[in-house]
Amino acid sequence: MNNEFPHSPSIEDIRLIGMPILNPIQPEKKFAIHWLNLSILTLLCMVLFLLFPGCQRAPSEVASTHPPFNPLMAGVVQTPIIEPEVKRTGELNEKDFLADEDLVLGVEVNGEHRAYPINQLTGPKRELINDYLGGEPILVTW
Amino acid sequence: MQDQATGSLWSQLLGRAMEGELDGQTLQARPSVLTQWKSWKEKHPLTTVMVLPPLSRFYESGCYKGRLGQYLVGVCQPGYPPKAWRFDQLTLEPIVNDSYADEPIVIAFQENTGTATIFHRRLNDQTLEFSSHSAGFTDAQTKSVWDALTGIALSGPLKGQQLTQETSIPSLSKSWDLFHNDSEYWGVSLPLFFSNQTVENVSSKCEEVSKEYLIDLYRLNIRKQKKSADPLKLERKSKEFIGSER
Repeated sequence: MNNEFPHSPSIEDIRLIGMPILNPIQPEKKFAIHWLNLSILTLLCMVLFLLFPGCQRAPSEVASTHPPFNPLMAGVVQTPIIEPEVKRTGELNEKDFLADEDLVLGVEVNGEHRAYPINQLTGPKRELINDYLGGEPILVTW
Repeated sequence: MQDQATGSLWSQLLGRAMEGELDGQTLQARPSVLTQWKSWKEKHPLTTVMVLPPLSRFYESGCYKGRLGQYLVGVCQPGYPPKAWRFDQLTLEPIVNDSYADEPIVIAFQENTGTATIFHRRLNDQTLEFSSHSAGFTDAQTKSVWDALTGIALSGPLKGQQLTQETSIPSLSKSWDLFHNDSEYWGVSLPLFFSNQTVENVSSKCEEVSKEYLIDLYRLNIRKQKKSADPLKLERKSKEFIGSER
């Protein structure tokens, strides 16, 4: 008569086996976990500190004109783009990703013309192009 | 941006050093034009083009095209407040006879390529007045026809002469607003307007983006007109609006 729900434990079953009780974490254990996390973090910091020598510069070396000291960006060296590769209209191929409808920034200096595709001038690493056109140094930015 | 010689920090849009040794100094801007590659190489067949290797496999070309309505062309000279002409306003009036820094100028806008060029109207001690023409623009004084991209007279009495290009900065309206608080704007500021051709220009890649943008714009306009509007009705109306635009 009690076989309607054979899989569900009855009160008697619970009495026999006992209720599963989750033991609360002891205060000593809590502290132990905290210290482990901290030690892992400090180790990571030390590794990062050694990896990026930029972090090791003394504050006096960093010029006052620089942006606020950011340890994440200190090791990153932004290489300027100087005189990038240029092609004539006939030399372009499919790998250059330049469609007819693409927007370009066109410049004319002393009779020389050059186009800078806007698609390629985006992103923090490619916003600034140092170039020479018509014998004059120019900076192209978008 | 930052220069390697002094480490000064520069603003890209203003071209002015904001911090450091060269603080307050300004780089001289050069006349440039933002146009489609097709029309640029057509006018200047001997042009060179910068080629950088693609950054990632997700690289796509032509993703800026759908945002034509967000662009503007501005001029900024020291001693004068900056002035800007929005593209969505220029679609209504492609040739604008205006003046800036006590100098008469003309703004020529080509909607099919999304190109806005600014030229000086004064040529050989004569101030010309321009109006729209199928090949570019024409002046009322000599009836010469001028090319809108280069400013060279294609035909008429002044054939072969070239108008001086004003140093203009094509920009997105958002960033222009941010850097030039005191900027003047030509034309009516609101409501925003999109003509049929601008919408047709939108490439398939950016179609979805621009559609959402249109819906947002429409919602914005409606919200300004009537604050207590039914959102469901708005949704339907914005869809109808897009349907009629196509």
